[in-house]
Amino acid sequence: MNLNLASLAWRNIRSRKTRSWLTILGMLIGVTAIVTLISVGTGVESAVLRQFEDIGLDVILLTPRVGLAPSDSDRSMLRSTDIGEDLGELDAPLDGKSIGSDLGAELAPPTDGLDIEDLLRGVPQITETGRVATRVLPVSAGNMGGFVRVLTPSRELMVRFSGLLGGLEIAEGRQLAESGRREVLLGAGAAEDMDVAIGETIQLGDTAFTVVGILATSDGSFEGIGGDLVVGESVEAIRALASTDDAVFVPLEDAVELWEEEAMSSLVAIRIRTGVSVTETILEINDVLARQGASMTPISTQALADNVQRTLGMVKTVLASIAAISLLVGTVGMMNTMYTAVLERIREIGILKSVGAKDRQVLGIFLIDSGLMGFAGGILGIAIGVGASFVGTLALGRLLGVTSFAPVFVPWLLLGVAALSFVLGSLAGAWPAWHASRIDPVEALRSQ
Amino acid sequence: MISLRKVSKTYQRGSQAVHAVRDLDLDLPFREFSVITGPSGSGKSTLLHLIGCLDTPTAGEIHLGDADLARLSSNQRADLRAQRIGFVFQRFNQISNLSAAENVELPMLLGRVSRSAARRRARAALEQVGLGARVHHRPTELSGGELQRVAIARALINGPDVVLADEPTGNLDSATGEQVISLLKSLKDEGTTPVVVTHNRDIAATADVLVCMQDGRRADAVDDADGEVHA
Repeated sequence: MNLNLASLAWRNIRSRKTRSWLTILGMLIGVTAIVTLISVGTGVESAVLRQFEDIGLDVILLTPRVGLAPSDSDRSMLRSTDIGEDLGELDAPLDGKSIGSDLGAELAPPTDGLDIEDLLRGVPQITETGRVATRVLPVSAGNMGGFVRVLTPSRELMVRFSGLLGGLEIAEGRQLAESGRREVLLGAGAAEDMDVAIGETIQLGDTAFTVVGILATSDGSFEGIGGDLVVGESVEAIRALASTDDAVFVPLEDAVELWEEEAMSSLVAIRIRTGVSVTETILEINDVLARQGASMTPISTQALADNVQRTLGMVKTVLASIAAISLLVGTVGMMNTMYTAVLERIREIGILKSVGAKDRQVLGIFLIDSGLMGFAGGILGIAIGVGASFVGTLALGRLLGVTSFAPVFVPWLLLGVAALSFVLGSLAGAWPAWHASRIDPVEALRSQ
Repeated sequence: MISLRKVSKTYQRGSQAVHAVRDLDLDLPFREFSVITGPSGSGKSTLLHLIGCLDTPTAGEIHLGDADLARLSSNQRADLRAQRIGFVFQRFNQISNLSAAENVELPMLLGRVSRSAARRRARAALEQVGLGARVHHRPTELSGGELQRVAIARALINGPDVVLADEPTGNLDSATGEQVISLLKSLKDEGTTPVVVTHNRDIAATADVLVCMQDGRRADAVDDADGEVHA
């Protein structure tokens, strides 16, 4: 770039502040939209994929063919009531909605018919497994009573697949010990609702359990993002498991012993050997499941992650397309402003030519002029877009009840947008600049 | 010597052909104060534009020293305007959003002169025309006489062979006009040839070379100094 021409262009931008700002504004809005939408979209995608990575991408999940996850409106089932009142009242509609037999039907455990030992024999590439079941039980604690979602993971699942249960990060107390000790672990929300502390007792069904630990608040990434943006039974099942705030945890063995008639294997997690083909393993698992007559469906976390990525990718593409349209509109607006500027500056062009400006120098001054304004719009748009991304993420997080995701700023995107804004600015000025360079100096000097 | 041989310039205005200059032969010697005069529409300004490479003749040859202007490309004509020709216009033709110094810098910035050198030389040129205290003033903050002196400083900044002035006193009072003409006349002592287009008889009377135009042709050409006809 000829610095002298750039200097002339800069002087022009500086001296026509209002017009320059209006020109810059068009590009600024488009770039802000692109940076914000893509950064927030990438942040959402990254947060969801991180959840899958926490579970492990070498994991295959066996989920029942009937959905198990409670619906959003039913998820918070613990209700306060006077312990002295008839517990039968708890079956009465709460918040205008019954959680009695209907919910029971939704969560009624199908007999999955799965024989894990047989599966391990039939598919030797499986290295470890874990199981978890979900049920809803009446609960009472102190002077509170209601129903609660009870997650009953096997020891293996808690140790080897804790990511499925949101990481099981302990805030107070300790993890569940071996079965048979009637110990319970509480989700953060459940503990708050029940108002119980470590060492106190709660009643689940007919059995008293000692609270040994309270989990940290779930980040809710699956709850908010995965659940709302990604449709799919398997993801719904994972989402229900990862949303631990309103749940309580009891060892699977205790659950089978106490509530045998309701026992079910709601989800089985399988880890396979590194390097083994996931697709072939799933085919082999399917063969075993078919032979056993088990009503379960295998799906790999990698496939789920791919699905999520594809879905979010499509959402991002749509958002980016909308932003690109705003950038295009801004560019056309810029072209309009630049052309008007040429018409306003015809006499000035005549003066420039009379003092020796070549056609290409006039072209250059106008191109640099529009390019610099495009670039300025781009840089300001990036800065505002970065700020808007944080605000947008915060707002979206509050809306969805998610705290664990942040916008992701891809360096090549920011650099690319900055370069693109200069190029688009120059393109917007190309035709007006060419027009300016072709103006006859004598005619230009005669103009008013 | 500025030489024109059989030069014609015809404009097309709608369907009508306008013969601004017809078959003109003319010699304007270097380092003389030449004045071109004549009634409106006689072709004076067109002649000045042709000599100044702002326009090209329809026919004929124009020589500025050894340069055949009619054969030059658009870029070569621009270079010639930048290096060997300076313009002073009746309407001052300053860029309104630039300061006096920035207006004077323009011809240098379009060349290869660095910005710092251009700034230094522009200040010196403005001081030379008595505007050392007005370098940062915008055109709207300057009087007509000051604007014309800025224009002269800009015309001289690249050390041209010729300064072409089109009605330079047209928008000035008589006293200021005299100062401007005096400044232009003084240029020939520094090796620059001033060529002035004017209606003003008083200025014409002081010319070394006087060219009277009428209907695109020379009405006469008299060298005041020796009384010989040059054409």
